[in-house]
Amino acid sequence: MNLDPNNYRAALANTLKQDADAGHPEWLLPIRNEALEKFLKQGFPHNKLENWRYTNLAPMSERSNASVAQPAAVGDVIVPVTDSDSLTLVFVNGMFSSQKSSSTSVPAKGIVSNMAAQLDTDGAEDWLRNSGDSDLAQLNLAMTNDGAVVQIPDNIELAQTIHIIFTNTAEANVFPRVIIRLGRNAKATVIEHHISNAACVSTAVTNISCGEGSRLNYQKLQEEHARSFHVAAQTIKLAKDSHCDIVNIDLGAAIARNDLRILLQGSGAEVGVNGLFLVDGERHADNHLHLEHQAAHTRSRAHYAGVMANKGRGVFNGMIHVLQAAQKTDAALNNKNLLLTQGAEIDTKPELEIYADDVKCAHGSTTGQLDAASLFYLRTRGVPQQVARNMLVQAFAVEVVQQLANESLREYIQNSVEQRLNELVAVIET
Amino acid sequence: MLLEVKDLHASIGGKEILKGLSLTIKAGEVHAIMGPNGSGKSTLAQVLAGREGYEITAGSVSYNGVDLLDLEPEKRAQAGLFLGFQYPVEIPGVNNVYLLKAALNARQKAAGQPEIDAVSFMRLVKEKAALMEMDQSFLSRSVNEGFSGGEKKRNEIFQMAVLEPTLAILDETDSGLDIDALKVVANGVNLQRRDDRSVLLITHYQRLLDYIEPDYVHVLANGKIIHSGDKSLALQLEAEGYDALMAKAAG
Ligand SMILES: Nc1ncnc2c1ncn2[C@@H]1O[C@H](COP(=O)(O)OP(=O)(O)O)[C@@H](O)[C@H]1O
Ligand SMILES: [Mg+2]
Repeated sequence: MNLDPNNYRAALANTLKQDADAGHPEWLLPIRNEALEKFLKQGFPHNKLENWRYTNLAPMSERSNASVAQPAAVGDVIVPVTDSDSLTLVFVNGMFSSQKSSSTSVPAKGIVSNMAAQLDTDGAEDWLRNSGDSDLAQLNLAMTNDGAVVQIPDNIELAQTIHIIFTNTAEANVFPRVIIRLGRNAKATVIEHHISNAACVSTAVTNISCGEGSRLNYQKLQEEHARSFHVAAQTIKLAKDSHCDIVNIDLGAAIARNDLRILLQGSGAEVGVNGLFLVDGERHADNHLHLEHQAAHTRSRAHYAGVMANKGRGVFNGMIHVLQAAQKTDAALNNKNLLLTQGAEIDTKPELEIYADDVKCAHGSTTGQLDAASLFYLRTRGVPQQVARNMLVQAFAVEVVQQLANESLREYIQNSVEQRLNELVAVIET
Repeated sequence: MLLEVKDLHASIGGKEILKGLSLTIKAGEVHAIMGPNGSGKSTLAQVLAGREGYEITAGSVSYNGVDLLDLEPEKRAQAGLFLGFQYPVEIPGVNNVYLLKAALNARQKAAGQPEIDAVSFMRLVKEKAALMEMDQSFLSRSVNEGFSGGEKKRNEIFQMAVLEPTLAILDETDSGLDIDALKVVANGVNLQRRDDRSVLLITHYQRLLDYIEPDYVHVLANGKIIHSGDKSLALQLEAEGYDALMAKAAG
């Protein structure tokens, strides 16, 4: 796919004009220009790259190339259920909507806000410069209009859930950005929620750092329109004794890709990751997980569940990377998959790369159909076959959903998952 | 006649396991089938419950006048058949109570009855759990997940108590139980004896029959019932062993 650089440069000119109109700081301009040129040199990743073997972004690059500009049209905005206690930041077609968002009361010196409103803050330049190494990070940096910033000062525990919603109502190209910074011993729950009712093209970048002794619940929910593209990358850095619990749920999009990169940088850092992806029709979901143990006494647990039906295709690539300094690492990674129909497919590859000698690491994956013995057991209790199947598939996914910290959101996602699984199970040939 | 099995032949993987088995059970009767390991007891139970994979090459099974072999497993259950498994399956993620509710409602629906309301359901479930001396916490756990052998068997009888079957087939419900657990399980079954409920007890040992008194005892060997009698047959078996009886049958 040859990109037309002029399209992108024109779009960037537009973005830069918006920056100027909004009175954004001047350091933005060179950063954006540089990022775009880097991106244009590289282009969209292609199948010949090992990391992209199974995921072909050509359809996305075509759509992106055709219209890089972001329409401002706002149609019916879906704002999924939230409990009234949540701090909600809503972005519609890439733009912050103060009207849809809840007015936020934040601890002194803390930030829970849209990024554009905070660019004069000390350190704002770093938020953008630290875009991570993902393949589309530079494109996001060049084009992002807005995003969410969550900065929690030392020793502050935020009781309310922060719910960041990127909702798209038009066939827009959007570039969501999320920045989360937890100070020492800070504590927070943040949900990054992507949901659309139009075939958007979303290139998302999330950057998280957890200070010493902090606790973060971070949950990413992807419910994009069935013809949309969603390519997201998250980088999470964990300092000494910090803990992060991550849930990553993919329910939508034609092509979804997640690059989750977790760096355990301080001793005693711990991370738990629970992932769920459901793919049916001709959908495609690709989860790349990179766990890097850089310091001693770090611990990681990762569990991904995939459910595939029809011609749906799932990809899981999980890597535990233990550096030499990371003695006494304790890491476990597993991926289990359910293929509901013939024609569905999963490519799974859990990997270990270990340079320390005193570590405990385990990895594995299983792929199968519904268990015949379980199905029979349920039916002998009078449960009809279709209902029994449904129960087993739901059971497969429920472990992940149960990890969601916020109760109303958990219910909401439970419903979304149930609905999607009902659809998946309905297509099983009897 | 509640159940009438006539000359049943069943094979799996081309191997014949049941070789002309006949058995008749009337309403309210308790029958025990005893037999050495590998004689086909579980096969009979599984075939009656509708497990896929068995080929029925000859014979018939009529249940309440309908051809049982024609029915899907769930239809059999909805018609009042219950199988207590020798090896109950662990199903992580499926909650015990949730399963029972789905099961009861499926039965109600099949009978053209309205769904059971939440309050009566919970009352029923709690009452039966108490009967089986089961801790309430079991109710919200996943089906059999992490249960000990004894807990699994107890859970089978608890499910039976909730589902109130017309014919319960209990496959080695006694195996793996210590004497206290055996008493609880046997008591649970005894409390459920009724004029309109029949039980087929499958066991390897006579011990269970000290606690649940059967009306009839059958000896299954090599895919066939070779001997039937009353409960004294169980004692005779205990004293003489299967071999003597099988030799007699062969001789
Ligand atoms: N799936 C199967 N495939 C082949 N043979 C089987 C299968 N299941 C059981 N069998 C054989 O059938 C015979 C009867 O088994 P089973 O009914 O379990 O006996 P019992 O319950 O009396 O101990 C045994 O020889 C066993 O090995
Ligand atoms: Mg057996």
